[in-house]
Amino acid sequence: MEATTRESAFLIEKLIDAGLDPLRREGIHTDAAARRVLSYSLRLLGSRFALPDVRDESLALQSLRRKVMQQGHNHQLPRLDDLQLRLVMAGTPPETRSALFTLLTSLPSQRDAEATSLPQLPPIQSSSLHFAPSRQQPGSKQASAVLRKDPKDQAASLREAAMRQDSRAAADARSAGNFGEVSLVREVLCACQAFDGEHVRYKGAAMKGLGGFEIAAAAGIPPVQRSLMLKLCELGWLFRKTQCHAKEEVMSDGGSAIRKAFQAALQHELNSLYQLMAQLDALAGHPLPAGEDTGAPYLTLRRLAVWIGEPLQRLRTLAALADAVVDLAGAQLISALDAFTMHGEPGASGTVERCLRQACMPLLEMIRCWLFEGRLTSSPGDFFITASPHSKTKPGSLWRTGYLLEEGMRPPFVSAAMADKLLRGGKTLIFLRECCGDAEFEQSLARTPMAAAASQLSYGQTDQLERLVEKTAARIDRHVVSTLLDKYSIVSHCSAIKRYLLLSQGDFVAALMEGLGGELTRSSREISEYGLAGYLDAAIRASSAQYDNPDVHNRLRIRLEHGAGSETGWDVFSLRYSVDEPLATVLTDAGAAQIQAVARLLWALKRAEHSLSAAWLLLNTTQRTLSRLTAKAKRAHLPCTGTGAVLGVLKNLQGLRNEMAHLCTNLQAYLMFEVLERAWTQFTAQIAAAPDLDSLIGAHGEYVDALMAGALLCEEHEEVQHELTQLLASLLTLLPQLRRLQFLVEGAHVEIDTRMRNMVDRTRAKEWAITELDAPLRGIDEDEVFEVGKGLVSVTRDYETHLRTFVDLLPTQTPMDLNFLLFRLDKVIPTRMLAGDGEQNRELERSAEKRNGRTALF
Amino acid sequence: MDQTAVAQANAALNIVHEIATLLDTGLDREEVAILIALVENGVNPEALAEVVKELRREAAALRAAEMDSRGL
Repeated sequence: MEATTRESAFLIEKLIDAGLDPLRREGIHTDAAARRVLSYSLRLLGSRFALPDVRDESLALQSLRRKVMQQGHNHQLPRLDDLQLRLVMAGTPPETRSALFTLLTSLPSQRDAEATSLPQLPPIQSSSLHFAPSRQQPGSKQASAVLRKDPKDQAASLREAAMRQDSRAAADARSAGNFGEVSLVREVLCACQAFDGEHVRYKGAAMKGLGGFEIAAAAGIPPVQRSLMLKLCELGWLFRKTQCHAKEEVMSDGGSAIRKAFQAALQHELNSLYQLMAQLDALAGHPLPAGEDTGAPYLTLRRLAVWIGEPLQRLRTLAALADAVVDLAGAQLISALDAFTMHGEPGASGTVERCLRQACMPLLEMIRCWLFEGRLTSSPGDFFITASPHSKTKPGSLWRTGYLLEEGMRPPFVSAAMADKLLRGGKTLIFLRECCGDAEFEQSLARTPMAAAASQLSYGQTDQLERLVEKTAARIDRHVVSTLLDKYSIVSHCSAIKRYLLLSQGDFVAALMEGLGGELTRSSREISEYGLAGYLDAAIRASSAQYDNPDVHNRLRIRLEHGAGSETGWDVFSLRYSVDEPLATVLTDAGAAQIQAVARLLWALKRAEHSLSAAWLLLNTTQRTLSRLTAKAKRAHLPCTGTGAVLGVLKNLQGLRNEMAHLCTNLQAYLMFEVLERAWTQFTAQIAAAPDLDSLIGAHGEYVDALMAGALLCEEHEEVQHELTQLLASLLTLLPQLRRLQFLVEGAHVEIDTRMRNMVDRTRAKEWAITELDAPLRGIDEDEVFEVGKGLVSVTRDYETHLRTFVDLLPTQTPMDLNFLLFRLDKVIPTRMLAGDGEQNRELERSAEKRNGRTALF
Repeated sequence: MDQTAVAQANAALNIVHEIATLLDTGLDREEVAILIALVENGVNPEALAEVVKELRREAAALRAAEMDSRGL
C-alpha cells in the first residue's frame, strides 16, 4: 500500500514535469508552480475523493461516447468503438479500462480550454467539484483539505468552469440565434437521466422530504424556457423515483422473488428509456437550422417535449405502480399490480401488463414446482401455500396439517377452487413420495405434456392455467386413489375392521366367544394380552378368517385396558387393528377411537347375549332336573317340598330371559343390519367413486360418523347411551338368580337321589326302605326360593325401568331411523305396571304366562 | 516483464493515446503513459483528471504571467 502510494507520488511528479516541460524550455521559471501543483495533487489523491458507486465499463464508455457526441464528432463514434475493442484485445483489465474511460471523459478538451474569448455570464455559485465529506475518516487526509485550497485557486477554477459553460451556451446561441437552446436541451436530457447538469440540479429534500429539480437562478435562463425545462424535468424526477424503487433491496438477498422480478421489470422499462435518451442525445448533437426548416433533424425544448410525452406517461404509470407496491411482496404485490390493469388507457394498462407478466413469472414457476414436483420453492411470504410444522411420526399429520392455504396471499388469477386443487395436488405428490414411497409417479408426471405446457405459462393465460391445474390435479388424484385402493387395498383393511372389530363375521366371533367366554369372566388382573392372544389365533384358525391375508392377522391384536383392577375380563377386553402410513391418513386415530366405541357397545351386547345363552342352558338343565326330581319323588312316594314354588320362579325366569333375549337380538340386529351394513354399503359405494384422497378420507369419516350416530354414541345421545349401558348391565343380573335356583334344585336332587339309593340298598337287604329313623327330606327350601323370587322381582323391575326409560328417550332424540327398532322393542315392554310387593309372586306368574304366549309369536 | 507483456502495454498505450487525441485532450504519449501507470496503480481517475486540469490551469497562469511581464 505504502509502496503504491510512493510510486503514485513519483508518477505524479513525472506527470507534472512532463506537463510543465514546454514552459521550462521557453525559459519560464516553473519550480514554484510545480511544487504547488504537486502538493495540491498529493492532497487530492490522499483524500477520499468521492468514488462513483458503479464503475462499470459500459457506463464509462457510454459517458465517453456522450462526450464525443457533445463535441460534435459523431462520425468518430465507430472509431471509438473500434479502439475500445482493440483495447479489450490488448488485454487491458476491465477495471483499468473503465478507469481510463472515466479519466478521459473527465479531462477537458483543448478546444474547451482555448475558448476563452467569448461573452461572459455571471459565474455559477456552487463548486463543480463533488466531494463526499460524509465519508471522512479520522486520521486520514481528509476531503475537506481539498476544499481548503487558497481562495484564489478556487475562484480561478470556478471561473474556468463558468467560462467553459458559457462558451458552449454562447456558441449555441450564435448558431441558432436563440439563447442556448441546444445546451438547454442537453441540460434537460441530463436531468431526465438523473444526472445533474450545469444549471439543472437535483435538490434532495427540497420540500418535505421530496426532492426536486432546480434551475440555478444565476444561469440567466429566460422564464419561458425555464418553466418549460422544469416541466420536462418531471421525467427526470419520475426516472429517479422509479430507479430508486428498482434498485432498493436488490442488494439484500433472501427477499421476495416476486418483488425482485417486479424490480427487474422496472429496470427493463428504464433501460428502454435509456435507449430513447441515447437517441435523443444523438439528435441533440445536430445544429439548429439557421433559416427555414429544411427537414433536417434537430432538437429544441418544444420538440423535446413532444418526444418525451409518451415516455413521460409510461414513467408516470411505473412510478404509480412502484408507489402502490412499496411495502408489498408476493401475491399481494401481484394483486396490487392487477388492480392497475383496469386502467382505461391502453398504454398504461399495457405497461402494467408488461410488469405484471415479469412479476408473475416466479409465481408461475412456484406453481409449476409445487404441482409437478411437490416442492415449495418460494421465499417466505411469496406463495399462497405454506408448509407448517408437522411431525413425521404422527400418522396423517402431513396430510391434515402439513400444508396450508393462505387465503390472503392468493393472487387474483387463482380462484379459490383452483387454489384448493393446487394445494391438494402438491400435497398428494408429497404424500405419495413420503408416505407411499412412490417417487416414480412424479417422474412420469414430469414427462407429460402438461408439465411442458406449465413451464411456458405466462401471465394472462388464466384459462390455460386453470385447465392445466384441473387436468394435472385430476391425474394426481386418480393415481393416489388407485394406489390406496389397489396397492394398499384399503377396502380390505376396512372390511377386516368391520368383520373383526365390529363383530360382523359370525363364525369368527362365535369361535372367539367359545374360547374367551370362560377366560373373560375372571378378574382382569388374572388375564394378560399374551395369554388371550392364543384364543384369538385359535378363533382365526377355526373360522373362515384363516383365508384372510396374513397381513390382516398380524394387524389384529387384543388389548386389555386395565383400570382400577376390580373389573372382569369382559370390561377390559377389546380388539385392535393397527394401521400405519399411508393407511393411517385415511383410517385416522380419531376414527379408530370412534370405531372402538362402537365395538365396545357391540361387545357389551355380545356379552349380554353370552350371559343369556348361558341362562338358557341353565334354565333347561334346571327344568329337567326339577322334573326328574318330581318324578323320582313321586315314584319313591317321597315328599318333595318347594317344587311348585320353583316351577313358578322358573317360569318367570324363562319369561324374563325370553324378553331379554328378544331385546338383545333386536338391538344386535339393529346395530348390525340397520347401522353397520347400511353404513358399509354407503361407504364402499363412496370409496369406489372417490375422485381424490380428501373424499376418501371424507368417506371414511362419514362411515364412522354414521356408525356413531346409529349406535347412539354421539354426544347428544349421551343420556340414551347411559340408559342403554345400564339396560345391558341389567341383562347380566338374570344369570346369578338362576344359578341360585339351580343350586337349590340340584341340592334337592342330590338329596333325593342319595335317599333313593339308600332305599334301594335297604330293599336289597330285605329291610324297610323307609324307616322312622330317616330324617325328613329337606327338599327345596321354600324360603330360599322365595328369596330368589324376590331377587328376580328386583331384576325384573330394574330391567323394565331401564327399558322403559330407554324406549322413552329414543323417539325424542333420534330421527326415523330408529322407528323399526322402536316398533320391535315396543312389543317387549310390559303393559302392566309393576306390581306391589304383596302380590308379586302371583302377579309374576300371570305376567309370565302372558308373556310366554306373546313371545311365542316372534 | 516478458516480451508479450511489453508489446501489450505498448499497444494499449497507443490505443489510449489515440482515444485521447480523438477527444482532443492535448495529452502527449509520455503523459498518457504516466496516466495509465497511475490508473493501474488504483488512483481514482476523476481525481487524476482534476490533477491534470490543475496542472493545465497552473501552466496557463504561468504563461499568462510571463506574457504580461513581457508585454510590460
